[in-house]
Amino acid sequence: MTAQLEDLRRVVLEQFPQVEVDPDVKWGIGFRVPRESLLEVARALRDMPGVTCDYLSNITGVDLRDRLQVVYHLIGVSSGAKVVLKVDLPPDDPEVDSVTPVWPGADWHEREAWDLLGIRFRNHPNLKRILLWEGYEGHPLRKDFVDRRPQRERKVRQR
Amino acid sequence: MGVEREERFGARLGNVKLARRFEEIPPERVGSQEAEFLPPFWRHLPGVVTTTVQNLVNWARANSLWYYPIGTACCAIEGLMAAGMPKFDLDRHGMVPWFSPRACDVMIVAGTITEKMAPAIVTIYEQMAEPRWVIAVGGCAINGGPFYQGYNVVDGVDKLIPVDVYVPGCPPRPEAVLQGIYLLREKIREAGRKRRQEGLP
Repeated sequence: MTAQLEDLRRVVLEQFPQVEVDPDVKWGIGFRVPRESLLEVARALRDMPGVTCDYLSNITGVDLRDRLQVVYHLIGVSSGAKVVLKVDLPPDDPEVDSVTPVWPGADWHEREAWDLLGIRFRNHPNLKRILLWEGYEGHPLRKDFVDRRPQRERKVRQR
Repeated sequence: MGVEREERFGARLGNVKLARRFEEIPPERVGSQEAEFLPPFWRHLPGVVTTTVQNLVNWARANSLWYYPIGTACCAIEGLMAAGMPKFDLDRHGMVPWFSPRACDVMIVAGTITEKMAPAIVTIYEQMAEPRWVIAVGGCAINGGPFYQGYNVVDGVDKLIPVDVYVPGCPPRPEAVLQGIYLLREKIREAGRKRRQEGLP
């Protein structure tokens, strides 16, 4: 199956009926993917002839209060394809498959999303905090984050 | 290093354990101004001798301030690099950037202090020999600036160590940093004067 850029949208929708098109996306073509089928959609987009989204540009996590969202920006280096995948997660169980088997560069991006938003990535090789230290309480970019650090007093030297 | 401390600051860099609770630095370790004055032996001499010697020591100290630069953000470009380069030239005041805290007199903190950086700042401050002074350059070092109450930002370096001169600005111009240094030199030259006026030993 050879998919040119024009009918990339049609081919993806035919192959995966559970995927919807996101009309809000202005950067390339956007898809809303249920979290169960993220890994197969990602693998299909990477291996699709004529498209080959072989470069994972960015992984972002968003807290939308009623749900958490993971946004994947994909680029086909040779074909010039630009694809956005959005996965919605419930805030009480934010778990999604890791895409490190598909793009190994997703490793640190997913660790950052875990660090700051608390999104768990299943089968990630090394899912631990990357920016904050181990033992930090909570995930600071969540909307309901409360800073529990103790109040510090000013240090004043006796004169 | 208790278990509770490791839970709170468990950050490790290689084999160097940075874990530490600096909120609990006892006040006696913050440092006093006692080292700015003459040793107690000198205070039994006649007043004209102590005054002269104290003034001489203050003159020497104010004109040879070696500084330890801590540039963690953009203020380092204005407050340390531009002020230290030939146009504004801190060298003409006898100020030399020196990268060993044990040989430094003044620490210039320019930039945002994060929680991970805080143990290093306190360690460097404790390694400096007394008398020691601190200049906080820029809004971030004064009270956090644009990152005030950020989840990973210490709201001002004076929450960790005592600060002598604050230089506001975001970032301040090198002239402002120079004025802060002049203020600090003035402060050093006047050390001991108030104590003499009050008749303290």
